[in-house]
Amino acid sequence: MHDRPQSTEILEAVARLLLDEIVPATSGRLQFLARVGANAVRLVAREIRQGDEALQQEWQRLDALLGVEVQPQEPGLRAEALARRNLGLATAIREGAFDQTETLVPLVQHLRAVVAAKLEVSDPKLLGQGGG
Amino acid sequence: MNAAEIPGRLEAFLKGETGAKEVSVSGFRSMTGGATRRAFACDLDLEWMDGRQARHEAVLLVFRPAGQQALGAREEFNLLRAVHRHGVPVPTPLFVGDDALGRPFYLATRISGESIGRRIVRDEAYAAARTLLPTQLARALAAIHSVAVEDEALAALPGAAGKGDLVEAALNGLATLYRQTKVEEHPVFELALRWLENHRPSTSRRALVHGDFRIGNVMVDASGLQAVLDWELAHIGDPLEDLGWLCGRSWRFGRPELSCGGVGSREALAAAYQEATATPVDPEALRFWEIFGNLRWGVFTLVQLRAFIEGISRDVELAMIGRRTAETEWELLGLIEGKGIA
Repeated sequence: MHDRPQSTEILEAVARLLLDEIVPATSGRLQFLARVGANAVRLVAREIRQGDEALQQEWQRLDALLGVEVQPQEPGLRAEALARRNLGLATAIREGAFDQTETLVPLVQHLRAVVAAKLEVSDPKLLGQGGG
Repeated sequence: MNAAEIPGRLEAFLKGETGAKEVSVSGFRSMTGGATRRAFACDLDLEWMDGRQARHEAVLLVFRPAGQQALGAREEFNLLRAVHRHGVPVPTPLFVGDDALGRPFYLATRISGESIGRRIVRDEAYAAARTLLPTQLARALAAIHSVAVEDEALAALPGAAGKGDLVEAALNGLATLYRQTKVEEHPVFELALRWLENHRPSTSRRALVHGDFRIGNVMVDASGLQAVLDWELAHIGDPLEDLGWLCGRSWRFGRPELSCGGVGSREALAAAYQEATATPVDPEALRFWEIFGNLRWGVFTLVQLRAFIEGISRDVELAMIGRRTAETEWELLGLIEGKGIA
């Protein structure tokens, strides 16, 4: 167990340094990059807070779409297995397995949930806005 | 070449080009540095033996050694001349040179105004301009698309030699770029490619396509559109490709509900384009090209991700573009579900 502050608290301190100290003291490209840097460390903090819940859910959703598979417990193996399943999904899409409405609708629902989990980290504001 | 040497070399070049007795290059300053060229502002004053004088507020574009797809200076200069003749608002091309500055370059008139998308879409100063922009953008596109594809200024463009199915070529090109570039699987992009294959528009026509026509690449002032910039991705393709790209999610600058570049609706754009070209726009074909455009941008984010991963640039901005791919995936899912389409 690490001592406080937590990693997310440290990252927030870095974001505050960039926004409160570096941005007012700079201009142009450097100021822009300081803002981008603050957004970047906040993104990483959101990713840490999300934990591996999103991965668990993606696995279960793939179970519902493609059939149940046993999930490896070791994190590295799990990420590898998830990448393999997504390769399988991509191949099935390319080969036309989801062309019909009855297969397309659950696929789009699955992809919406997976992309939403990414956006919770990368761009939470976008989520309420829908698409199209 | 050292930038400080450019004004003197430019004066010698302009004397040779114009026969002017006196040439002065003043106000020389760096504007931007892109991946393919550097831009400088300068003012040219010319005077001939017979007393004639000319003054140009100019922009100088000095090209880096040819990139993969980028047009060369002379090709871009000729293209600008052709679209200028067709009434497209562009910087007037002035002079082109191959080696007087050590690298290919051209000069064009400097257009004043704002090109930063966030300001055009959000600032009060452009409120009136925003009401005019959808129609102005549609008319500029109609003028671009009216250039005869046989025009010899277009012969150097990608796709100019192709005789086959335009849509097929565009889809194959995008699919190939995606498969060569991807670092991970993107099932949404596979779905979009599959959807596009299954929903090809029934008609297409060969035209000059700007290729990067969007808010951010146009110069705007309080009265609206002043010039269409950034012609590096021009090619021969279907004209609706430009309309679909303009409606992409990633350049609405905080106004996602305004599908035409954050300044209007895709329906208003299509109606104005239809009026300007006197040709109906098939909404399903426009939807096809809007999905194509969003997917193309999504693949471009992967190109930038790869540049970051391979260490070509470790820029934090480039790193963050990799996390913008999901935004495009979200938009694609909405479009495939048919949301936002009248």
